[in-house]
Amino acid sequence: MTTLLAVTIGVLFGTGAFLVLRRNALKVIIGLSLISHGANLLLVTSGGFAGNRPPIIGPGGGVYVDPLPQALVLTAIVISFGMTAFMVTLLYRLYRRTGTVDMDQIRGLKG
Amino acid sequence: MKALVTFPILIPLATAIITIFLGRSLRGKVVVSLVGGGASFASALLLLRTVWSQGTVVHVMGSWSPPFGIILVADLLSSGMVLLSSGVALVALCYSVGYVEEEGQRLAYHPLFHLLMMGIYGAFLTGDIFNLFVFFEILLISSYALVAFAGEDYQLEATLKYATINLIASAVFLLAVGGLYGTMGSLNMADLSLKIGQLQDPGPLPTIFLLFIAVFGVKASMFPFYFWLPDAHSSAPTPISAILSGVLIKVGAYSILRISSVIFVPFRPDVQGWILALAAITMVVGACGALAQSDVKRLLAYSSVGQMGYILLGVGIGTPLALVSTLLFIVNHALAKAMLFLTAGIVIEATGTREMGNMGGLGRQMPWTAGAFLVGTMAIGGVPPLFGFFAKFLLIKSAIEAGYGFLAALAAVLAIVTLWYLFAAWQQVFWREGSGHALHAVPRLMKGSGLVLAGLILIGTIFLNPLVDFLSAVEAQLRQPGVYVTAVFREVTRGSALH
Repeated sequence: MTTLLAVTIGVLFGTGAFLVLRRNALKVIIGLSLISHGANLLLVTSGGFAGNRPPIIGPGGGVYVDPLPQALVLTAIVISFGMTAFMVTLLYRLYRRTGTVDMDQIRGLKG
Repeated sequence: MKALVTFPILIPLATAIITIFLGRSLRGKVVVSLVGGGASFASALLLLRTVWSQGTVVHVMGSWSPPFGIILVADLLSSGMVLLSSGVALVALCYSVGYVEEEGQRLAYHPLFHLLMMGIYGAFLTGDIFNLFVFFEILLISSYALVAFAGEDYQLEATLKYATINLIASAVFLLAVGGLYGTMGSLNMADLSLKIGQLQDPGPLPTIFLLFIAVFGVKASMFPFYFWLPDAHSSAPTPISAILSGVLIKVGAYSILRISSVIFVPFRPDVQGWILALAAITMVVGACGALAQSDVKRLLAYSSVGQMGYILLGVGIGTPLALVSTLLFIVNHALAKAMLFLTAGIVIEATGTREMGNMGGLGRQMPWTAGAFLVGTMAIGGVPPLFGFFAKFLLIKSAIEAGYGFLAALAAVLAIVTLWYLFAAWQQVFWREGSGHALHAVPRLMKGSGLVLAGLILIGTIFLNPLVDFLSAVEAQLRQPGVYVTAVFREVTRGSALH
């Protein structure tokens, strides 16, 4: 399970990094959201991910996983959702004004 | 008065919510917003007074005791930073009333401004790493919206760059948080401090420390991560530039100082070389970048990069003298750079151009603004009577004492370069013969705001001794993480005795 998650996180970061380096700003935004998914997944595993165990203590006690990372990751997901929505809106406004999403053509600033 | 710690966070939040619900009433929004800004400042003053007389104040949020719940901790450093930023924010807010066009103020300007300040105060006051992440996101998303506020092409482009690099930084922040939680099983700073102190095998902790430094380095415009700053700080509306350069980049420096003095104390030698090297490069690129600018706001933005290099250098050296001079530097730069941006905004408003080549001779037409800009130039450049000089002098002295002769020489040379490009800018804008073109009228409120900050710098210079005494007390507290930890856990035991 841990190996599978490690590979998944790696793939998410890898594809995310690839997309962030594209010229098309829309792909950059998709890449950013993939990277934040990778980070969220890593945060969940930091509490000791154990497949089918619940993050609460049942009526008879029993095994459970640490609930804190799950609470953290919920916050992080909401934040990354908000950020993605903001970025898409920002890009849409930029597209409406300049007529392109190609970062090489949007060059008002010297960098 | 434990709840006092929450006031600097709750007051801006309440102000933001009220200004949202005031609809399109301009007068109502301005009044509520200014009252909120004033109340934040007053609560920050009160908080600092309480911390000064009664020691570190700790507030447990929602009665979930740490290390599980979230705590707010106000020690001398955090309450001092809150006071500094709320003062700059109040001045910038007065300036905004004259600067931002009415339609913008009727819409979302005031709520966003107060949310930004709430995020900044929260980042200073929190005692929990994940909560720090949340406050960072609050301040970042408000600042994205404010940089893009007027919706010009260049502002949208700058925001896109600024947001992209900071979103990647946020993901890295989460990685570091996950790594820290996975290794130590806690995110409370005081608890982590205790656990790491007892640790035998460091494991991946030095790497995690370095990840945190990188994340905070993005906010503090440390060398490989500073590329967004000149665009974002120069494109933002002027009062927001003042907040970004004066206050927001200090949040990054503060966070580095906080985690290295409370949490990762044993691993400081592991990253010291990195911080010193990156700080040196930051100083150089900032100074070189500023030399090449013809746009006055871009020049000031690059100058911020260079000055952050000095602040990080002090953090890296880490001796008591270096830290005191760094704190003095932070105060100096927050006031002076905010003031330079505000006065540059006045000049831009009056002439209608940002190119320094098209200005000139404004000293005769606007003597007060010229005087204020000169005070800022001298403060940042480190000209003797002003306390910016003592900050730079003590920093260089501490570098020599700690055996970093090369860095001291570099800092001294770059101090001269700083003085040069700032005086060149002042000369170009105010002193040389101008074309004598007609100026647009500038609201009194804007001119007055610039002068208030210039006055504060002069007051700081007159009361240099009490200021240095205070900063030495801050530094003494930073050197003993035990004080912080004890204050937090005393609160916990008292809390559990009550339940």
